[in-house]
Amino acid sequence: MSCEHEQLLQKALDGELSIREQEAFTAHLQQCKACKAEYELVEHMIVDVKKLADISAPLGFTANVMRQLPAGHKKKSPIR
Amino acid sequence: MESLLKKLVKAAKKGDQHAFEGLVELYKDRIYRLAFRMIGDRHEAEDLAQEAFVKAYMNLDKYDDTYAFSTWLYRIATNLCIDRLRKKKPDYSMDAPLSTSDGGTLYQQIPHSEEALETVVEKREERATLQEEISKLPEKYRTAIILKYIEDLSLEEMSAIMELPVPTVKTRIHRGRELLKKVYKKVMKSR
Repeated sequence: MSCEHEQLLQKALDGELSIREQEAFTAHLQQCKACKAEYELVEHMIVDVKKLADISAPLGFTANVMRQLPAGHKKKSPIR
Repeated sequence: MESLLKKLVKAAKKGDQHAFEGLVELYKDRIYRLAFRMIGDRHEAEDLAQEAFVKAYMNLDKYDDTYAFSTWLYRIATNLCIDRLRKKKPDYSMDAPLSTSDGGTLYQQIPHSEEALETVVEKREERATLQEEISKLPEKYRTAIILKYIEDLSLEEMSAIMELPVPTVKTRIHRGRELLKKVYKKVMKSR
């Protein structure tokens, strides 16, 4: 991949292409299988990485945190 | 009108533990997820995430609202994770098996039929592999990838959390993406 295309590819992945660059990039992808494959691979990878977001804190998490707070700080004030 | 969040922070700053409890409830999933994806181990992640909240509570007087409360929390948690990773380094090598347990909830992993079982197992393996590869990234790139793609944060938020200028954050995302791509390519080919 040439340097110019590498830069375009990074910008495309960052979602930062100008309209003109977007046109040039799309045109290039239609001609260059290597760049197209590379771009699609990284896009696919990003989708997979994003899927790792679907986890939640374990049960009892908040209660455990609250138990660890120092006793001296247990002053309460009513919420207004 | 003052938002509920601001009210909670204000009350917590005055020592109201109920208000702080509300803040923990609001952010626990995000902070636990960050710790788990950074560290790769459930128990350690839980400890770290809890430590982050306790530390936040102890330092509430230092929080100023120039930044979002979430940014401040993320910064505390990220720093704790990085400290832990640095301490861990001497006794682990790149070849050592990393925890492959994944954090999906039990419910998400219950297959609906015999056929679905295979897909579930396959998916779980894929996720574990990806988590493992992320865990192998040097911590500065790992942080960037996790904050950007898993936590879905903006470059500005990342810059505040990582205490780095935006262009440096961008470079780290690019480098992390490149490193991860190399292993991802191999994983895809082996399928």
